[in-house]
Amino acid sequence: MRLLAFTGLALVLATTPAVSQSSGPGDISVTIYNNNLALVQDTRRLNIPSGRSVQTFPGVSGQIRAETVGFNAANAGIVEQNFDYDLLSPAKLMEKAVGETVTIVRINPATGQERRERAKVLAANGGVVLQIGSRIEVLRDDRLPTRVIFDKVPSNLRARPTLSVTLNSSRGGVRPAQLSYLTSGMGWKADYVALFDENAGRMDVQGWVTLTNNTGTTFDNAKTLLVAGTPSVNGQRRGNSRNNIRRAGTESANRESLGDFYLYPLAARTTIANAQTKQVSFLDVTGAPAQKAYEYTNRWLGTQNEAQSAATVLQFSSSSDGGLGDALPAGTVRVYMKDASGQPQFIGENTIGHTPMGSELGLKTGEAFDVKVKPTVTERRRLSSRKWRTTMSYELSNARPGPVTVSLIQDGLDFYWSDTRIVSESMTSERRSSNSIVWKVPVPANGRATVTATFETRF
Amino acid sequence: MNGRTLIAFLIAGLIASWSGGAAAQSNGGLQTVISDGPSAVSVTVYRNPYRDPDEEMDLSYLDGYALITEQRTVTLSAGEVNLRFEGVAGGIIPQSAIVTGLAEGVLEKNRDAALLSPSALLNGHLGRAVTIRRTKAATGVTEEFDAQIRTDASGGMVMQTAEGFEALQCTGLNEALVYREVPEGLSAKPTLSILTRVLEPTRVTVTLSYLATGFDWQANYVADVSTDGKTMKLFSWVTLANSDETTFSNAQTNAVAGQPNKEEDDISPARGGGVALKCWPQGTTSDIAVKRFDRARAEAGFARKSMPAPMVAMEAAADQIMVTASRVTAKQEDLGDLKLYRIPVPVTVAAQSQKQVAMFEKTNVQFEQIYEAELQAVRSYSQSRGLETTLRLQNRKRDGLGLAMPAGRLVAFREAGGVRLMLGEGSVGDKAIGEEVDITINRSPLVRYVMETVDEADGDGRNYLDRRLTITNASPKAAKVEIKIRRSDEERITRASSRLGRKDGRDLWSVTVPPNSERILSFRLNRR
Repeated sequence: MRLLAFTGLALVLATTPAVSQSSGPGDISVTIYNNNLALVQDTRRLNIPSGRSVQTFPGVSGQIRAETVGFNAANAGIVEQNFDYDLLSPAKLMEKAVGETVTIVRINPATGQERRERAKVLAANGGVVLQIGSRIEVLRDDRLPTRVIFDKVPSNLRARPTLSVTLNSSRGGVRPAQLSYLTSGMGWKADYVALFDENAGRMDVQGWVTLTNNTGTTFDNAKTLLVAGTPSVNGQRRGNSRNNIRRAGTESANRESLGDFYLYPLAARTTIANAQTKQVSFLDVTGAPAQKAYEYTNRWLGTQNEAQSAATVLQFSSSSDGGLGDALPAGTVRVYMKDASGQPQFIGENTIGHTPMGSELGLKTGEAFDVKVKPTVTERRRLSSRKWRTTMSYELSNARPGPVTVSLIQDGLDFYWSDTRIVSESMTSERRSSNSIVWKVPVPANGRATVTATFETRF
Repeated sequence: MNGRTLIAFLIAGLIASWSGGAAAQSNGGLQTVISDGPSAVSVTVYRNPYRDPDEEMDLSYLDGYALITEQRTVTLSAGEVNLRFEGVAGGIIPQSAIVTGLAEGVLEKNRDAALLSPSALLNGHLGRAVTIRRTKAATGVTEEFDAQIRTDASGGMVMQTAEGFEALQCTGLNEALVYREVPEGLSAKPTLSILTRVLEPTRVTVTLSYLATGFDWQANYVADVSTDGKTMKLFSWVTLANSDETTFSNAQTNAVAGQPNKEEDDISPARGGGVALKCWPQGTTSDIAVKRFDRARAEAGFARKSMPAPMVAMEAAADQIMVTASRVTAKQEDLGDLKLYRIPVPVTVAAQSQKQVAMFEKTNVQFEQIYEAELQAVRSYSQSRGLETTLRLQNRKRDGLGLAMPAGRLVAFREAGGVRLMLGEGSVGDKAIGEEVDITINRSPLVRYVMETVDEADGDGRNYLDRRLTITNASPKAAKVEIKIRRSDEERITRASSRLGRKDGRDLWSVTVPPNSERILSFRLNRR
């Protein structure tokens, strides 16, 4: 037999008259920063009564920074603003019921017969102590199935962290109200797809904004604005990470900006679902000039028993003149090349920082299989207590069918005293800084080249 | 064709058009189209960039990756379309996805990681009505009633019924939650979808390509050394492995050698899980273990059900290891500064499996067997030790080779008395044409060395060690020996009994030790 009880039951919500709950998120706009931070502006139509009233806002971000909440409605001022994170749970419900009276229903396991009694909760420490009439019992000491029915839920126990605002309004009536707050759990970065055509010396680049929402809340039909910048946030490190900018640009991009940060608005309203990664295109450039270069950097006194691959570096510009023609927000650049059958294949990726327009970039996409350098310290002699003479030899090899030029960099030449001297070298180098020199070494097709140099250093 | 078969034919055609590409669902202005699998696929596998050449693949945790390119045919009607891609690799790096072939391009790419799970069901029903079903232990009678959920899945569940507020799992009754529908936006697996606009109804083939983790590959070399000890037969395999749960059938399969730069990928994890139903303090006057067990059993109804199996549990490493016929040989081509190995026929890259295809075979490769060691000039090596046996190849056509050699292990064999015996195992890094390839395969028990100090002076302005290095060869063959001597910048070698060369910035003593004899190098190590 199947017993169907209380079908179509209308549930009565326990709301006190002064508390009104707004009907859920309204018109939402979200501004997302790079460093796991977003500004949410939520405009709802609220029915605010005259005098004092409490408005609660369900559906705000689960990671709201409550101290940043701002509320704005005509003819209404904020008395106080509360963020309740005392969450409703069975344990909390029982704790708050201490001193209150509840209904207990005992079920006889043999017969299924129910016995209903009113009981006063005396304590809920380790176990629940009840007073039933004149008897004192511990709940379910007899192990029998027992239901506990509470008359009410304390109003400050919430299902989810809830924001509530106490208002003092000079008039009653429906009007738009704007709620704004900062939340963590949302962030964005850029992802670039670059299809490089080596023979033509050109590449096609698509830029995608990748935003992630881990706030626990879905933002429906939100007007979305992305800020390419990392505003300072207390408690977050402001390190300078690798940005691969070879020469920072001096051009201004034709984009709206906020202070020093560029803005990337999304063309259409979009729903940012919880646990979603969303990508929207913001850049599409075809045929931008790009070159490939080889680089090898040797540390001071670096000797290798086996030849090491030179780095393959993709060089391009973000300039409007012969480049991508935009400021590039920080992210990952994935580089593809077509294989013999014409299908794009992945050849490596690297990261860029926020890059001003007009910058020159050099991304190491990988290590060249066929272009290698073998550095050797061939001799080292002490000339005096503060002077060493070091002879280096660099053997370069190229197994490719065409000639290549390798930028061979010797690093670590500055020993605080930057009086390092190059006594002799087999080809002329360029001193890039007190710390490093570079040789542009041509290596013939399927051939070799050798560079030798003698340095005089402090150590 | 009679009427019945015509109808059957029509129905078959209808089913085919459904399963052939897409199932469409309309939802207001936005239609959802599901593409359930690719019609053609290509897989290019990249080696784990952090794995050394001598390191074996860990089949249970493959840390390389693959570029997967799929052709998917879908039927789209006009309007805004949410196109969902099912059957993509589980290890997809969603931000790397590229979708081409749509006339109006891609408005949005989305990857939803909110999974259908007990906790997602409960969270999705917060504030909504559900049905509670109680089964009486004595009679088996079920009773159903409506309730509203008042808490999320973070700890315990409080519900509102007609009688008041109650907590689930605290009663000792057999209680179950019955939901009426699955909340929106939940899926069984993380799903990639795109939003596009279609101007007129069309049937298109879109190309979806993405990077996915959980793949790896390596070269494997098998060297059969001939009896003269001067040439070898060198055979090599491309060994691919896929630890993903997805099988790629009849895939154009490639492997890329070299070192593409790879950054760390930030993939937001899939969300979903069980519900930890906590109750209020449940201690009683006498908590006896046996009774607790009974109680747990009585209350098991809901609590047990809500704990799902761990999602990331990896199955047994590789279900099968397939070796295809060696007649199929991977073709090498240049891909920028990398090398691409293309398997010329479509193959199936099965889930959790390893596959091997021949890369090349060279029958007459010249090599030299060298015994070598690198010794510190000042250190004492008073106990006799074996030298390392190294096979030295010149990677050039003249010596029977002249091919790009991707990183991997090499196993050397030699026939002795009609039996193929293993000489040893070594490894090769990525080696280009024209490079010298040294593969150390073992430590020789017969060719050994000792280095000792025979005299020393320290004082009166003199500071030196007189050193003696002895190589003994107990084998019936002459041994070509190369000893590198490493010294600090403060030390100088003089009075060497043999002429020393230089290699890799070290002093080098090259000597051939005749069979069953020894050779001695003596030198003075001057120190400042």
